[in-house]
Amino acid sequence: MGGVLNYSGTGELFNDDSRSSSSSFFNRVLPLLFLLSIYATRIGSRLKLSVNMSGEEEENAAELKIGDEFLKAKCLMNCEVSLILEHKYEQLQQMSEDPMNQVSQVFEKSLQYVKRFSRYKNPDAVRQVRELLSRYQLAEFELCVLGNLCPETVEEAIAMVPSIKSRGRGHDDEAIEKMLNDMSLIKKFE
Amino acid sequence: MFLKVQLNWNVVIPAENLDIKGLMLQKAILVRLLDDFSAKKATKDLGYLLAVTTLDKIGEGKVREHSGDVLFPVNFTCLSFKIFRGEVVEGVVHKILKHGVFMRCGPIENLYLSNQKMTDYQYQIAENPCFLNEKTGSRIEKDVTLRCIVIGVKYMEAQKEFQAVVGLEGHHLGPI
Repeated sequence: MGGVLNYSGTGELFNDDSRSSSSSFFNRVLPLLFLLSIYATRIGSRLKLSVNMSGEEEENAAELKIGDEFLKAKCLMNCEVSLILEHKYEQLQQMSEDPMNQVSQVFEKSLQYVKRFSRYKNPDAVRQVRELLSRYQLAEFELCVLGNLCPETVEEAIAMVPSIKSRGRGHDDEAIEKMLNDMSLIKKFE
Repeated sequence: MFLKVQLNWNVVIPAENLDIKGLMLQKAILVRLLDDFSAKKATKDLGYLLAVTTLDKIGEGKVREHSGDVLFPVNFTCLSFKIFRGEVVEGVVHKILKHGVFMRCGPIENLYLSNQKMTDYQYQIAENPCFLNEKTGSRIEKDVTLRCIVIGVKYMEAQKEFQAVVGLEGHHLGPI
């Protein structure tokens, strides 16, 4: 019913010349194309712009619609990734004088990111948070978003991870509040 | 979101490198795997490939008839990074334009936040331009952390890069 526009991912939407980011094409047309893709999803129900998944259901992490393979996949919180990547970096430092030269841009940017966005630094605290959140009936994805963003109120938690209130898992406000309090206690005594 | 994934790849060891045994062979396979892994950089399904964490199993090698190379199926665990539509993420602003701002999130270099998706903020022309919320005085400028929601994600096969469009409309989103 209605037309489905699929972008086949060959990059037509985006300027291939990603190096000269100061060119006016990049500055003017690119934002407009981004906006076009957003507005198209709003215009009526007949025209559906499928940006990411060409399957029947559109991806939406807020409702935990992220594909079966990701629902079952193991997710890691930023603080857990930080411990792993820092350890790897230390190993490299022992083996060579210039470790930064040995790692890819992807590794370097990720390491910088997780160091900045880890709420818990101490390995014991990281383990405690994982154990704590695992006691609640949460999908791996939900667990990690909570562990990354550390919401302070129940309202904030539901705004960050709307799916915790769904699927009849009995996450009432009291349970969520207790979980958040325990998380901040771990932070306090880190 | 960071993912821990188990993968099964075929690693090819050229015929010249095969007159080694035991641990040296294992090392050659590992080195080859790490090279292949690095070169792959990213896939549409898994996102950016970050690092191999464990080598789980190396299967029996199969000789390829014409070249004499041997192919080893290798089972390993690795870390990857991918963001999903509807996910709430935190990014760092690195570029401010009249129509919006660009942020970095993990290995993703360009998360785009349009001015249309942050209607409380207005562009301020200045030597260091920024977006300002007149009511609250909150500023969006370079190096500010923004919590936002992912509206759309696109993978560009040729460059092996992801780009995304994000928004600030929603409770508890905005500068941190």
